[in-house]
Amino acid sequence: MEATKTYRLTCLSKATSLLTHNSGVQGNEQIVMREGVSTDDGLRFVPVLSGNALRHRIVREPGARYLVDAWELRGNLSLDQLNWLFHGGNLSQSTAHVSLSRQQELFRLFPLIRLIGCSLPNQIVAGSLDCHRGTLVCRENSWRLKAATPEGWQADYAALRSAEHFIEQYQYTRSDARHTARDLAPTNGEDADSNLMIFGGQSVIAGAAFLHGFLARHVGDLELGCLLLSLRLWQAHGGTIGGQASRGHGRLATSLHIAPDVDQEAVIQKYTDHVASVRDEAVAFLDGNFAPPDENKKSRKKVKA
Amino acid sequence: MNTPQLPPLPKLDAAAFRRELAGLTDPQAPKAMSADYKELASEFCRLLAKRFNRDQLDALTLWDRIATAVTTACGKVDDGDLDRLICLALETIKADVSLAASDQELAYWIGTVTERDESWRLGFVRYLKQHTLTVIVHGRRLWEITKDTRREEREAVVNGSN
Repeated sequence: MEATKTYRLTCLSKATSLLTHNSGVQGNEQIVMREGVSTDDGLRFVPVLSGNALRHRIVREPGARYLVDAWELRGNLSLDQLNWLFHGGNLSQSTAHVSLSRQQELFRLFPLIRLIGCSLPNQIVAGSLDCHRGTLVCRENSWRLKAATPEGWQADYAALRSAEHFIEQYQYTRSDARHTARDLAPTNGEDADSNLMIFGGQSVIAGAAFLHGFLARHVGDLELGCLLLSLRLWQAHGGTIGGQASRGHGRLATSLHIAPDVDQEAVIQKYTDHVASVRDEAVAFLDGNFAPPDENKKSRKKVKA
Repeated sequence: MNTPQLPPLPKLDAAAFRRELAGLTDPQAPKAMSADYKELASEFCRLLAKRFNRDQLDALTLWDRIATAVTTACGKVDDGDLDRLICLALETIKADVSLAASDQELAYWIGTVTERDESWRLGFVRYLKQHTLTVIVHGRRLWEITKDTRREEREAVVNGSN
């Protein structure tokens, strides 16, 4: 049996652009997601990054995309298979069935799933990765930051700025072609309400920092390699969180601490080698548990590892 | 399969963590500061009402103009340069230069806020920006008190002369 360890990954992510991880809309204004924190001054609501969003953006999405590319499955996956890889899947069969042998096989072929868990059509499989929520580095969170950082990481938490210092407003205007492309607008006298729309909301300012991290419980080199590779892929592809990345929002620059220390390059190489070696078995697993897309089933070629 | 050539994430350790946090601190931010901001911001609005040029502008637009003056000035000043912020606000309400120059209350208020340290000044601009409407309300209340006091003083003078 492969030796396993529990790793604690601590990340500090600094916003390099405004960040709009929102909780909802009030009128036509988007509101930054907040959570209640008990402070010496009473209850305060401070901006937060949800663990759900961090887990998806940092681990699941880059991890799944890597598998699709490495196994050359682009265009060859059914919607069910894609939903399973990118969103965890759904229990779709009426009877649940716990098969430990299938779970073993799943974990062997997909270290990503061993980390984050999934729902097969008739079996829920738990993962082994705890993803922490993103805690804003601010005065209100000072006691939480102290508790979340490794022992000995002392800092002047009491002097941190208040959370409100990190919140700003943004506003955009969706224009109307009758104003911006007047030369192309129809001239047949069509009357319609203006499409001009002003919209905006709150954002967390560039320069704000969030402390977050992962606890990878009893994992081997493959799972850790998968996690580290996903983190690197996420950062290499912009490292965004929250909405409106298309407008330049939500970019994070992340630094990482791992305890116990590990040879990152070695575990990532081990993971990528493993992914290459199990390609055909993994594809067979996917097809065995989810109906493959009919039109692609025949065209799927076996690839040498 | 070759490992994708991706750079490792920067290393986070106790020293790096402390450095990052140092950039997010504000040691000059006592809890009582917002009360200080509120009082001085309200007084600013009162002084703008006092210096509002009623000869050139419609007096009915007094508070709309002051709100615009505060919002515009805050939008243009992001470095805590309160001298410039005050100047922009006075320009928006078309304050008479001679009257502004001889206004002792205005001079005292300018001296009070512009001599504070940068952290305080930045905080003040931020407070004005985020509390414009309530600051106008408080400023108007102060302005009404000023008018009442002036009226009482005038009446006292008139009664005294009779």
